[in-house]
Amino acid sequence: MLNLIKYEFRKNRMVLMIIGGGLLLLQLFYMFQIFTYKEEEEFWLPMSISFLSIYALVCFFTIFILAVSNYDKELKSKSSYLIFMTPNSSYTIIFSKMLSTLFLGIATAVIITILAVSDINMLHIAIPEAESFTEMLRYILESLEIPVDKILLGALSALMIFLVYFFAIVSVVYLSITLSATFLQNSKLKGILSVALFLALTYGMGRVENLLPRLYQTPENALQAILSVLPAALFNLVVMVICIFVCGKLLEKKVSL
Amino acid sequence: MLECKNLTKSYLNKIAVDRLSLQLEPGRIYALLGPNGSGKTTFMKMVAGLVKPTTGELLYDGQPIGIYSKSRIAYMPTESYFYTYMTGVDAGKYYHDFFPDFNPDRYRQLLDTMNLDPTQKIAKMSSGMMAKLKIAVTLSRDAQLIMLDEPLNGIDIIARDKIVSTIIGSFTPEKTFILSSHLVDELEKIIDHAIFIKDGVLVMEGAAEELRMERGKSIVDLYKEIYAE
Repeated sequence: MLNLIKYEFRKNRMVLMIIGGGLLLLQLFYMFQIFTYKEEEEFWLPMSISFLSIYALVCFFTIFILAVSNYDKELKSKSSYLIFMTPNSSYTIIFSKMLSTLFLGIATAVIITILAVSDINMLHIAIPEAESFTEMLRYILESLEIPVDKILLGALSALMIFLVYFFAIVSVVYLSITLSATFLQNSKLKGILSVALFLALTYGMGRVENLLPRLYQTPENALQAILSVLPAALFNLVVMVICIFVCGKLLEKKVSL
Repeated sequence: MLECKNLTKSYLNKIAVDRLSLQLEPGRIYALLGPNGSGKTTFMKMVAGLVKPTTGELLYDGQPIGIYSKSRIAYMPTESYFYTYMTGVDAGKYYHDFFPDFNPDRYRQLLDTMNLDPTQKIAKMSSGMMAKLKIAVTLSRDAQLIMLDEPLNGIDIIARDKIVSTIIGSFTPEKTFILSSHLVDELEKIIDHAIFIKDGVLVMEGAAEELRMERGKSIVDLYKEIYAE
């Protein structure tokens, strides 16, 4: 399993270096802006903050694309022989791919969080007025009776559900690709059918999720924030487990490389 | 060692392998003969676990094809199957990481014998160099069953002798080799057993010497007789 994960990263090394390089450049640009900040040239600092924020989303989107395209390529190109010839079960192969994506997702989230915290601190150090701006923003929100702490807790629960949902969607895409390469391999419409299946499954997931109760509408503390998204998170986890199980079974019984 | 009964693989409008029944014993070199599209590669892929049979039974040491068989069977596909980033060194590391029977010293020695630069990117190699590298990496495994799909494809006439002698040099009485090729004359001198497949159907098989004696023809002539129709 560890070897499979190692080669998942090795295969993507170049793409990961490009993503990391982009983040580093934007971070340097941001640092340059805050340390050379002049009030009369205030255009570029907000721009650099916007670039970094958008790039954080781009990073997650790229990981999703990477996870999906790698798996699709794996089942369609001859390099799949390298993996499927090895003495590993189909489940191990699928798990290694999911785990690689999970590690990559967590690593990206950690790096982005560390950068965000340090960037905010740097901003306060380099431009002391910015701290008063943050305070002012907090004051405005509170005067509008919008509790900042609750916004943060809401954001925490949204982040958790986003992560679980992200991997549930990856597993649904894996299932569609696996079906296309196995059960539907003899069908001329396999591409359309697998896309239709993906759309139908994600639509169905959304419908079921809407029916699930949200235990706390406005969580008061971290525990409530976690509990509020628990039903939806559990549902997505169940979807993920079922998809991985079916993928493994299909590859075990029907693979044709 | 390897047993298949009524093995069939069908695709959309084609039956690639049709009710094939065979029993392969250790210590022999089998030639899997037939023109392109006769089902040789599909059969090998099924044994390697890359393609699942539609129907029929396929057993290696009495077990269905799976993790155990993959650890004992070395398969060299006819296509290039390495990752684009790989050099000869990377390919060796990959095999070393996944196959406990891979011998890195033997791999280095085989690369040297075949005059291959281990640091060269595989994607930039000529078809002949690629074919040699595939043979080197496969024969560096101490597998019980070694299957080489078209090992002489893309290799010039002078290098062919080197390949053939490398294959013979890797053979031991505990091992079984299956070599597929349509270059029958190159294989005739080294094989013990011939299996002729036509349109996925087994048309003739037997010990090479017995076939020559019974039919009064060489394997090359038998090949021409079977496939010229």
